[in-house]
Amino acid sequence: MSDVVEKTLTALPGLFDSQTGAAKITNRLKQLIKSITELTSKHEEENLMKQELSAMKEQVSSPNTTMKQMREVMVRAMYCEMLGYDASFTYIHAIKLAQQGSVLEKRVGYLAVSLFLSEGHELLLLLVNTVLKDLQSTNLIEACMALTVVAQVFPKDMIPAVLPLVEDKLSHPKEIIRRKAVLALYKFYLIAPNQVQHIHAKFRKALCDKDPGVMTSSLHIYLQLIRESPDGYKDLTGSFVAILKQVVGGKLPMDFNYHNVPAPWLQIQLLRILSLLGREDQSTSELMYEVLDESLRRAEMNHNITYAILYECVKAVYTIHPKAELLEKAARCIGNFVLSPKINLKYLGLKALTYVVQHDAKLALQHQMTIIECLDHSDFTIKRETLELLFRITNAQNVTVIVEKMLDFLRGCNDEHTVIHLVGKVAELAEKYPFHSLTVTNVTRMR
Amino acid sequence: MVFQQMHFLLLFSRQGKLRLQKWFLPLPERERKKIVKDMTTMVLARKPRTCNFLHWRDLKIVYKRYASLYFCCGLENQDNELLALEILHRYVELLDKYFGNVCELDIIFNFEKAYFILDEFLMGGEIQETSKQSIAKSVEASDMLQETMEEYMSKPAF
Repeated sequence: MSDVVEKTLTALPGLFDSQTGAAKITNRLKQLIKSITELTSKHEEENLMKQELSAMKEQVSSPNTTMKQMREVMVRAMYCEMLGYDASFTYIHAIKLAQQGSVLEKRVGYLAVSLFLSEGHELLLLLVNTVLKDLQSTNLIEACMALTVVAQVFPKDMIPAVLPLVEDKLSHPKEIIRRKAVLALYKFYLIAPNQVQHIHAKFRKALCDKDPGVMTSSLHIYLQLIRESPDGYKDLTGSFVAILKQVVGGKLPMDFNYHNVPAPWLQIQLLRILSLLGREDQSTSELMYEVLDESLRRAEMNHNITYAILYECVKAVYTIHPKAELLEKAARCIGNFVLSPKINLKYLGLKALTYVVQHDAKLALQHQMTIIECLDHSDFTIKRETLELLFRITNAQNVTVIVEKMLDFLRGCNDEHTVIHLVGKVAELAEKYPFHSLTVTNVTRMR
Repeated sequence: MVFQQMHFLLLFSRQGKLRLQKWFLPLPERERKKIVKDMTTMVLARKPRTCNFLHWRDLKIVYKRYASLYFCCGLENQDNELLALEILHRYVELLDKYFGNVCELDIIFNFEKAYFILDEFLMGGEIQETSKQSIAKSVEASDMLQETMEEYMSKPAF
């Protein structure tokens, strides 16, 4: 018998097991789901789940349970937890599964860990060694899984242990690894910023990565850094403007298009970054007027995503140092939203007006009629949003009317949080415009 | 000051049965149960032809129904709701591509796969700009290991 045939025949029984194993996997979950669906009362469900969980408990504690079987149990455990039943006895086994299982089993183990455990859970420490091992694995899929879990949940005290390995991945030949490494570092920055300060230079490299996906992932970090301290990054404005220009101009591979719009989420990240950089800074703002104008112009198609981009553009235009032509275009855009028959756009228009009104009160006055109509809209959400807007445009002339409308709304509202929020607003107005004793009485009654 | 965009993402049926839950912020179990209950109640009570957005506590809720499944997420107040709506839509498109004409049953019986896809394109509540190929490849790469074994099984040994 040839060498190859012999090897094959020896390997066959092992593969045969995996086939039936796979069938078993779907069957037991299917069985559980079907049984639950057939039950008619919560009480019956609880009984069934109790049985199921105790059978699972036995399985996980048994030394005879294979990793394959453990994978199947873990899927059922995730299902049980989703239904609200505690399966915490499986948590430790999830880690073991990630540690000892083959690739497919590892994947389920890691998933379970990311769903079951959260920041600060004591079992997370046990994850560190598994992650360390997988980060060094020659199997890229394992490295990806490790990076994915690290970007979701990781004990912050152990960051120094994995940091060098993750940093190392920033220059990996595969884009997916680089991208996931950036995201892991972003997570580290969020939970323990001082651990990651020194590698700003490496983020900069990611910003210039030839793969748009990697570059976009670095923007999460930049957005956070710029939120905290815009001044430190003004020198990057030119780069961000250049990138946005390229994206809007369609220079990215077609594969990054979403409904014919080039990399919309990337555009939006850039718009947000630019607003923060241009705020209260004329010279920096001047660098971006052209690209903002271009974005406003390009986003003219009839799709939710272009409207979403337009909204961000408009916000950016109103946040940075003002430029008359841009403001005009943005104002027209808001007008179109508010007057749109599409209810989602109307909502967005109202929201934009609320944001903008602090810079340009006239705009709200222009759309007074529509706003008043929205107050009586059948959609509660639209009404509520209109009230937020009204609160911003209150002045001595219209305060009485506005407070009346707010009280009206409050009478029909039973959501505690909303009531508290609005009563607070009414009280603020009563203090600001002390005139009507009736108003004050109403406010006291509401409280 | 950490700015967390998406707080959670839930999938539930028209009867309010949870099909998927992803939390992007650490929350105690009690709190999660409350959120799930409130979301299912509020979203299922929405009338047709209303907008896809809701106020809840200090968050904005964005939801959309696809056939018999509701996709629902919770955002920070200042966030862009229309964008979140498109994130939900992108997720549905990815599920559809992966499962081939996805339906609720696919997600019920293969929920762990739905999670794998979610983790590839929405990391920590932030959407990842990736080429369509990239997500497909990374999820299917691991699947292919399984397929290779089965293919091996179905071919003659010599």
